[in-house]
Amino acid sequence: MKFLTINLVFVSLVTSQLADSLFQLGNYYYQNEQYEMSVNSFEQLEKDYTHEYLYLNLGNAFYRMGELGNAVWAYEKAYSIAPRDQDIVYNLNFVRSQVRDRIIPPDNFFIFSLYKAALDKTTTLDIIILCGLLFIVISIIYLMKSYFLVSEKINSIFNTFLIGCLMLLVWMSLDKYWSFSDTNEAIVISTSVDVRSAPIERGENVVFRIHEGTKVQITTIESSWYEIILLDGKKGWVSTQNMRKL
Amino acid sequence: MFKKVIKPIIIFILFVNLVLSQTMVSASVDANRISRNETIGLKIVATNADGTPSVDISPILKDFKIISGPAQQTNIQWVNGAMTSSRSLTWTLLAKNEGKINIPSLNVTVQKNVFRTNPIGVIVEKGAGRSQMANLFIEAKADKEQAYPGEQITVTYRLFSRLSLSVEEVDYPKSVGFWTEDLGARTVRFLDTQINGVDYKVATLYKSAMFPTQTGNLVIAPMTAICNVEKSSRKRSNDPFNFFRETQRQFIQSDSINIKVIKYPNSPPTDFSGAVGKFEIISWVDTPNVKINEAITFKVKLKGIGNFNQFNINSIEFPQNMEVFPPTSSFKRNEFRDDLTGEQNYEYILIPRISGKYILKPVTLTYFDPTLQKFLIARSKPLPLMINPDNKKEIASAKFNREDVSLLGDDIRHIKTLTPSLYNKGAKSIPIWVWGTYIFATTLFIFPAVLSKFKVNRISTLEYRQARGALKIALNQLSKPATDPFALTTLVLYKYFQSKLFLSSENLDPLMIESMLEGKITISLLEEVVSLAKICDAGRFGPEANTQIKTLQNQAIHILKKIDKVLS
Repeated sequence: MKFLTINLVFVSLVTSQLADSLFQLGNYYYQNEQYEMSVNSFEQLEKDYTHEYLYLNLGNAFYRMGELGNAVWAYEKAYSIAPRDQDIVYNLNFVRSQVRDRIIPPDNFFIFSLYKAALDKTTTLDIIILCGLLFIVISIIYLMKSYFLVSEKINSIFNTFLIGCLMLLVWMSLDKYWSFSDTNEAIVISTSVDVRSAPIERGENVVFRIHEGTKVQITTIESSWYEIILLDGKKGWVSTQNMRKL
Repeated sequence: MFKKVIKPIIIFILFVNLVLSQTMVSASVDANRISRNETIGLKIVATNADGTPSVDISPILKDFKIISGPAQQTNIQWVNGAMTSSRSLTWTLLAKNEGKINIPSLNVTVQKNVFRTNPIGVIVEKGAGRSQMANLFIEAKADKEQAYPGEQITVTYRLFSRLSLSVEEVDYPKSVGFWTEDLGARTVRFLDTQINGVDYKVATLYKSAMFPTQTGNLVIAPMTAICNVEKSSRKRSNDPFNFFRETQRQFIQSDSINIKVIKYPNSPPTDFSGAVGKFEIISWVDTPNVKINEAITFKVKLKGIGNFNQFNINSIEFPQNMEVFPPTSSFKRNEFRDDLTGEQNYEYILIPRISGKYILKPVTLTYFDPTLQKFLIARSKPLPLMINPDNKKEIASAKFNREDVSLLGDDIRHIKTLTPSLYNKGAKSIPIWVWGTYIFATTLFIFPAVLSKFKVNRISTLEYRQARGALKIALNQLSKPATDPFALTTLVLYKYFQSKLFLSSENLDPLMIESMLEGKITISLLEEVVSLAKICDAGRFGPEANTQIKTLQNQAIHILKKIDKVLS
């Protein structure tokens, strides 16, 4: 048993060192302008490991290779892990500005937009931490109330507000969870893709065309076809080989 | 030198004269479809003939009877200073039989030279033959019946007439499913021609290049025209200048043309924007070597044959640190070709903001070649550029304002070089300190309740706790030296019994202790306690017990230990 534990620790150390070496190798290739090799290293690492900086560096290598779609994909992955990292946000916005398709989503009521922006800028862990901190504040106020350090009126105002916030956070965490489990998104990685009215390749069934880097939502998966929907509601079928799932 | 120039000119003039003065002979009939009772006019014209031509008419006498002729006519024309003369012989013939009769090739002798005319077919019918022939019609003709989308179809509308007329109005056709480019020929100019040996005047009314924009069976619309036709007047007019002729307005229309537009043989590449034809791209810069902030003119020329104006060249990717102004473009068409041929020119102004070596990537156009029936890519050559630094600092240039500086930083941010603590996919869990916040908050929540319960518990068990700790407190106090051992011992002794026996009163005396302890401890021990209490009292209130002052505290400790053992 002891031997097994030592062995496992050793294997874990070796693999973690291997991962670090691969990361450094990817950076080395990038700095020497061997972007394809750099992408290979990061992609190999990405099979088993994850980190926002791994995706950031991978995105940079893709961008330098001229693969805009893959670069957007990598930055989106990095953004989902660390939505408030300034470098990730900058690079993502930079490559998004080069995407040919301008899809204007329908206007939402400003409160929903605010809620969506807040949800977008936070991770599930952030929400769990915020819930914990709020819970502590509520507990302190309860403690103070128990020892008559705050008046009943102030206690009720604070409690109403804080419990409201707590409920909002719980809802946000649930929303995050649902969006993770239900939403299927992908990025166009080919220069341009014909979106068809049915999962058949025919000349006359092209309904619209989207270009590299555009983010789409997958609604149905059927053998080698995705049914996609754009932010503005346009819907159609594309071949899976032109897309990379997030 | 003079000879060198003059000689070819003279040879050229002689050659032209020779060509122009060459004798030509042709035969024509005034109708090639006649009835049995109608006569037909046969005309043999010798152009540029010096003498009257003589014709051996015998081959036609088998099928025709000569009614009159030959009538001779001489015409002389001066066109652009060149004289053209023609001599014609005309016969009026009557067909002997019905059916298809061939006027064979006839030998015409002009000044000992023998020429042969062209054979002419004539149909002799029972009914009205000549009246079935159209004197005036518009022919619509397309150069192909099947095309790919975007492939040029040249359509020509020609007016054929055997009458003297003038064109009053032409309604140019507008066809659905085509993008049309006018190829000119809107001025009507008549020329002589023959159809099946019959003389006609022909004029091209309209010529257009039509590019299908969709697949399927499309129809090129017919053309309509209104002509004023001169006809012989049945009535005699009083107008001396009318010469017995009147003008009649006539409406004529061409046929429509069916065109089958077929799909491309392969599915088009994604960057195909609809270019069909043959194209070539050339690109160049006015100077490949400039300093930063100096303008470079980048020109792109797209030339070839095809559906210009219906597509765009593939988007050009310029280097990152180069400011590009929107291009100007112009199209120059080659007017002398029926195919839509020309060149499209684009001109970009580039301003490099950072020094270094750059390469302007090739400009490309994906197009479909209908002759090869495949998609091809026309591409220009890549252009190297050398941008030299300015003597002044690049960024701190006086020309720059704050906005210019921000433009220079238009690139992605650099990679993270420090190795992060990578974690396995799906292995990331919530840190323990986060759980700590929840535990802490829960603890704070339950703290008041727990504390309150603890307090209640403490209060309720105070007497028991005091009884349990009475000996300890007593021994502790007795072990300390005192100025008045009697008073201390008395106080400790009574305090002990008060705690141990749960007595409320503080005014104890030996008798009260004896009564309280009676039955609870042994008699000897009771006596010892009572005796000790009395000694303490005596010591407190008189000098008799001074002899025991040294051992008093130890004695008290000893007795209390024994009592506590019994009472516990």
